[in-house]
Amino acid sequence: MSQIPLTPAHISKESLTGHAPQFRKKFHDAFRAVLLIIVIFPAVFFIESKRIGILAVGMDPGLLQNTALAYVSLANRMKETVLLHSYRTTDWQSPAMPETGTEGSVATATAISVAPSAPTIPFPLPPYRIAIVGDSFIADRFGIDLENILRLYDLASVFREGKYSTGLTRPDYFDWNEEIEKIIAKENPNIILVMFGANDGQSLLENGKIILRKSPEWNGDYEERVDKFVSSISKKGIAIFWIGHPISRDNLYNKKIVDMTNIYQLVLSRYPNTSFIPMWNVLEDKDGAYSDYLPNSRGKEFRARSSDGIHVTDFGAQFMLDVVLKNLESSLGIKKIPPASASSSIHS
Amino acid sequence: MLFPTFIFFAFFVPVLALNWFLKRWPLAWKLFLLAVSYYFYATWDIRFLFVLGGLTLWSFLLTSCIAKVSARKTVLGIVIVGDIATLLIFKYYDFFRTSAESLLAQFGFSANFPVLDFLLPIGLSFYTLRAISYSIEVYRGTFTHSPSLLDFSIYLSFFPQLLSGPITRPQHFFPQLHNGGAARIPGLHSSFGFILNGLFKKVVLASYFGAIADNVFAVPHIYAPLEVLGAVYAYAIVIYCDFSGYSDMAIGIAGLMGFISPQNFSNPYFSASIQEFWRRWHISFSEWLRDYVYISLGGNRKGRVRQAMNTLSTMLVSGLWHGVGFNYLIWGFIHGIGLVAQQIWKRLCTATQQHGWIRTFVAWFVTLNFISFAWIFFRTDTPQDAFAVLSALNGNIVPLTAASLISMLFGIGAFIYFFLESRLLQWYTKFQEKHNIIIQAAVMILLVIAIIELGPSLIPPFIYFRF
Repeated sequence: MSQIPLTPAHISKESLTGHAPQFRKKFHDAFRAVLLIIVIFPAVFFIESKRIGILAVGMDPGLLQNTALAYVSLANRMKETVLLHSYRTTDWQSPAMPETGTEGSVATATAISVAPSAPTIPFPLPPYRIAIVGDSFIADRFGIDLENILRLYDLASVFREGKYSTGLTRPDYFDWNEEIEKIIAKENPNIILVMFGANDGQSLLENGKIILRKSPEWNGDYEERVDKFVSSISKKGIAIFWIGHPISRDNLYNKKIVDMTNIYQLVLSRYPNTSFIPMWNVLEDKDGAYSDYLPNSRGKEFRARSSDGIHVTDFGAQFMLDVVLKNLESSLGIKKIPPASASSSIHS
Repeated sequence: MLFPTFIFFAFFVPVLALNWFLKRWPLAWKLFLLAVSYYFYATWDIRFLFVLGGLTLWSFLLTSCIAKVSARKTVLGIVIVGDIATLLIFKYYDFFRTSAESLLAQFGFSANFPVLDFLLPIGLSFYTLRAISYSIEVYRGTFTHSPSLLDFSIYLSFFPQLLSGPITRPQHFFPQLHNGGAARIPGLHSSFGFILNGLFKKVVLASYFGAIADNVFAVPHIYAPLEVLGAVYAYAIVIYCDFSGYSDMAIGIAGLMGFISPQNFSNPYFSASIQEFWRRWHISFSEWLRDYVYISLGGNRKGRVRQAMNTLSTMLVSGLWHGVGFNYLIWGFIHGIGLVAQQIWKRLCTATQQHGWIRTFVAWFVTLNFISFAWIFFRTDTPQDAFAVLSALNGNIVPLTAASLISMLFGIGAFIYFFLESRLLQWYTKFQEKHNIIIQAAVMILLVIAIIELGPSLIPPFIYFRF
């Protein structure tokens, strides 16, 4: 192994004290450690540029994201140069730096006060085969409780699939359009409950171009994605109940949710067999603001929201479940059946 | 920021370089360590710094009085009460509030205790234990109080160990701050080995088996009994890989910074008794419980009945420390009962015998299943959910699907990996030490790529961050 040459500073100080060999060894080890990390990470990012690019698009806009994206673009161009086409799946273009953001200022999200859309749709006839799909709300407490409760109803089948960190903005990470086709083919639902939005307030990737959340094109692009998803289900005669997102702790996050909710309602209004179930007001406190704690029917307060200020506890989920179930009961006429006869179809 | 992320890499590379550069100026080096540790903590939430800083000042100032006043025990009591009160308020207040209200309601009393809407500072459970450990060691005279607030602040906040341990003792940590600390990295390749091993366990094993466990634990009654049983073992794999994976990464990162950390796991799933399990699982925490709870209560010095009570109390504390909820208390109680039962068994079978391999195998099998089933209470949100899982184990045995059989084989593979873990780490270290830096880098690149390719796209959150 080659020795790291000592600089004059080291020689002048360490050699006088006779500690030169030890100091050289320390420097050698530490230098080796830093060198290894500096070599390994860029090499790994180069080889795994696709995955790194996916992660980078989802990062908060800023220097780190731009650096990561620039590196990924460079890596892909270099791979193309050496004919490694199979590793290049997208020609990343770093976004133009956005204009001075207004998202840094705290915005107070306005409550969504749209009444539940009155279902005028020709609902499918029973027996109902319900599929529940969506993001972490469906993967976690709310979705689990919803599935468990629906299994107590007179339904032919209940299927649930929730995927953490997914939505409609990042099909490069997880493609819900593809997944819903698989679910429809396998489970043959005639009712689909959908919940997205928690992870969609991020930059979009469109034909290799990154569209920042703050940019004017974002809303139009997201509306197209929602439309594509809804139409692929609706045209098969499957009824959609789109579950809205409740108020959350962070105001910037709420602003994004409000924008997306307006888009969902706009898109759903175009399709006859869809219905939107608003949740915004369901988890507000008596002043119409966010609260981690909510009172039960007897006025006792219990924790309703998770520590992230977005997801719900079992107690909080109950509020949402009440609204969803009332909606389904009135729209579809479904009823709870005695426990012994409850639906318990096994799905693998 | 999580360890295995791009942003941590961007943070750690300059920190590592500056760490070694500044060692020649010990004071500057220590200030740097404190600054990066506080910065690391602030990236989670800047408000957490107030809690960490407040606890640091409280513990330091009061512990410094222990050596100076005659009422040493009183001062120790005050500092520990303050430390525990911090933990109680942030972590347990809501649980005790709702439990007290429910209990009073049972007797016809109506109570509405105030709701305190606090965000739980991540890592609080860990650095509180370090603070208590420091105070007790000073009181017992086994460690001389350091007059340096800076050293103490670094001890509580050292970023590789801040969020999830290991819970280092002051005797182990403080000497590593003297005179610029270690002159060289204590095991360059073993440090990288720990990081790679931790990454593999967290990114690959915990993610894969976590998906299996999550699906079944969500709605256990729709799964066949063997699938539920598989999910129980899967969760045992998940919790070990998640926690020991993070621990390994913390040890490796601290190693690269020049700090030796205590071993935190030692093949716990190959224990032949519950007692042995607790000597191998979360070792730094088990030893903390033994030295500061069990022994303080009297240990085994006050008769058998008292020993049993002390054991149960210690394990209830363990359960409560891990989580807020009756399910954690039940988990701790189960382990307490297991330890007490083992104490009784040992007394009944006092004759020294050679343990044949059959007996050892049976002991291991029983212990593994005891631990795995106890984990059910750890995984579920409520005792009712845990009993739902246990109920789902009852039913007609149906053949496993091909997918389940493959998962079962992977599970066996995971246990084989756990068995060989320390050997693999030794082989890796020896291999790297024999080769030049180009080969070392190439091997590490290949291993990281393999981990990425085998793992999911997104890393699920670390389970032990909840504590």
